[in-house]
Amino acid sequence: MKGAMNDRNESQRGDRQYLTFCLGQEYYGIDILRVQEIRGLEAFTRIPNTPEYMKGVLNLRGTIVPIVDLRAKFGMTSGEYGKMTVIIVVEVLEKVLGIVVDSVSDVLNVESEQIQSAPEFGSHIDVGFISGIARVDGRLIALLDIAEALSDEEVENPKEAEMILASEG
Amino acid sequence: MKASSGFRNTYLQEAADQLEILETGFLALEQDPRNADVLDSVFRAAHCIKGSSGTFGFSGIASFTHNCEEALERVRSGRLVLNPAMARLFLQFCDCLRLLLDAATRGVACDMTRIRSVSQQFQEILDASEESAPEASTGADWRIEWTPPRESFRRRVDVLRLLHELLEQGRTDVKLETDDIPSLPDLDPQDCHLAWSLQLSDAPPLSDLEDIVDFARGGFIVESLNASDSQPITPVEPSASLAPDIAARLLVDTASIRVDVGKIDHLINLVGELVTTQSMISDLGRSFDPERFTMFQERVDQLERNTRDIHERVMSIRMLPIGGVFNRFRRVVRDITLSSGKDVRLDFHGADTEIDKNVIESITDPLTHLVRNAIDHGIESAEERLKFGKPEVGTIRLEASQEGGSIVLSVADDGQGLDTKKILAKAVKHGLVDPQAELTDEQIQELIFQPGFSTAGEVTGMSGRGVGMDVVQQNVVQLGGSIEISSTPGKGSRVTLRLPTTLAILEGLMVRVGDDVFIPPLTSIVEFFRPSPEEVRSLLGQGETICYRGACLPVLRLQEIFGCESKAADSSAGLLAVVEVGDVRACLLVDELLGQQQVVLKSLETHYRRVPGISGASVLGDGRVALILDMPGVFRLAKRKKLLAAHGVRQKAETRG
Repeated sequence: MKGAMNDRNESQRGDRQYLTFCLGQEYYGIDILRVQEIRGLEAFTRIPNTPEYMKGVLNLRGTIVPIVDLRAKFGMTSGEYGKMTVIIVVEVLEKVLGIVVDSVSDVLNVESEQIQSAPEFGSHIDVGFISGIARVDGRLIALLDIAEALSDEEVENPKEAEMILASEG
Repeated sequence: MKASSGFRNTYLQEAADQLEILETGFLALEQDPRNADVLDSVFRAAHCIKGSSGTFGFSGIASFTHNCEEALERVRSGRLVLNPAMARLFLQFCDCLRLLLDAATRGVACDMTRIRSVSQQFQEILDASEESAPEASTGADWRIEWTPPRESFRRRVDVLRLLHELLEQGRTDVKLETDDIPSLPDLDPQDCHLAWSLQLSDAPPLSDLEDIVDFARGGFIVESLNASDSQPITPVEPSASLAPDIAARLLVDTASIRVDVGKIDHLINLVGELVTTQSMISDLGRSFDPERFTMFQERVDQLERNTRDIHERVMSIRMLPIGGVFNRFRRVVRDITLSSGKDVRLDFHGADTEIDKNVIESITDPLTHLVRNAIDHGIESAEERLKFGKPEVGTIRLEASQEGGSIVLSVADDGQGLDTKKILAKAVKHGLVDPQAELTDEQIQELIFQPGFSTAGEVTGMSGRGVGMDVVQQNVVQLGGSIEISSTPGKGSRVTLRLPTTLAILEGLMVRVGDDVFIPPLTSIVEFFRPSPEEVRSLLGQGETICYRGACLPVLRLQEIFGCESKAADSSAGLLAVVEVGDVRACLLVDELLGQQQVVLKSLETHYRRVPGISGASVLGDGRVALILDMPGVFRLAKRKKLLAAHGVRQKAETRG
């Protein structure tokens, strides 16, 4: 009974679990509910005429899933893919996407009190993508709003695709 | 009470079906107002809509339909005569009902002005006929013996509810017959052993009772106690006395069932996976121990046959005869005929040709547009036709047939044909064509596919807004098909659409270009050949070309078209694939031909977006993803990059080598 009460309190307090990963030297976190699975690096198939951060597509048990290099998307210098590089498969806006990250770390419980709003500067990436900064065990983790971070993909490109189609005679 | 969405969807689908029956029936009645069978079927359709609307809480629709049903009843009984004005009103009723159902489907409010007006007109008609024929007696009297069949409970007949409904029909005298009930040890509670004798006074006419009889599925003996009809009516089995379509719907084992399209799609995905797995196994077989190989190969062949069979059957589940779409055009043609004053007849051929449901849905709008065009621009007015010695009534012929792996649909008219002078003038005016250019008649005719083109002097209600043939072409090309037009001035025109029969699985040839594997569809490939260095010539500003079989074909490199950086193939060391889109040919430079395979087309759009030049992706035997080329798209990209001349290199299609 007490456990159930605690659970209710937790969700009321807004505690969430985040999967943390590294891009370069920095730690980021994604809401665990968005994470479908983690896969090792596999060969992608490139798609022509796509932005630099769009690495290609993968076959995930029969579904064709696009793969985004998050470092490239955030405008960071590109890193080498090493043994620790993995793909986190996430579900965003009813689409399934994979993001390439340098390594994954733990799943952390983050209480809402531990989250501060993001600073205006001092980060590589557009602040709009960050829903907050958490301090857990002495580490600063930038909590990503993955829908925001990846939704540019959907927002920009349909227009581009339409433009191409419209200009075709 | 709002019904749950599952029931609601069923109701909306059924109502849409009934509405089609109504509309087809009313169109037929317009020509032949005394046809008793058609009258019966539209009456039942209206009755059905009214009933189910009431059951599912759509009381507005129910009461709107009630007036129409009442009017139909009076037409059936001869109290009202179905004149042309009333026929038009019935068709307007259909339009209103369509509006209501559409609003209900989308969950929005509906603009009730038209509906109120139609309702009013029905009311006026009904009032007028009230005065003319005095009501005989308020109600009929019936004696009913109802013995529900033993399996009624098992067959989900809600006996108690039906009994209540019967009791509500008028003043009743009910006696329960219990003779048939066995003793308790022998009683199977799932069997129905009850029977009733009822005397119903001041009851409505038999038509209202028939619903209850329908639902009971048997066991009714009804005797009229009125002086006028003294014969007992004994509908023991529904099929005996009721209209065949109602009966057919009620019987448990009907020849067709409703299946949720999502389930079919899922099944098709699974079959797609099966095809891929079978390919993978086939692939594996290539590196097998030779001794076991023959046996293994036989098994694999068997698997391939099984897969192909299942695939064909599954795909055919989604196939529907195109006659359904053709039928909808009757209404369209009638409306346009009335508004344009031209008299047009519609002819169908090949209505049985089956087409994938998705294709049907995508092709309906383009076809509608073509039919409208044919009437608006093609068919001349009656006087003009007589002047030319043509029959007064114009003909539009819709044809569907299967040709190899394609469906061929055509819309032909016997009107005035395309006016090439007018088209050329319009094209020059819109800047689509150089005034000095010399174009053949065919090239001029093709101009109507350019965006923004329209030959109508003014915008008619139907077509000529410039959103026309180019959209039709886009829709068709998106489906992987092609469109052609041919016309003879004074005689008529014919637009032909060619569409692939199935959208999801196609035959592909795998080619390697650099490190990438691409799959052009087999249907777009003419042949492969290896050129010698002398044959490849470079023309300034126009890229490379090669002379082959007496024609000069441009050589396209996918890397350039797609902007990839993979290592470019050497034109003399590589292989050339002659590809064809419509009657335009070009050569694709590839490094290696990897083989032919049945390829499952997987969409890129599901999780990403549409990529120009790529129609989808497929999974190879080793699990890698290969991109399937959309040849028309590739050609478009090439034209944009000026690798292909703007109007293509047109040649007559030669027979394939």
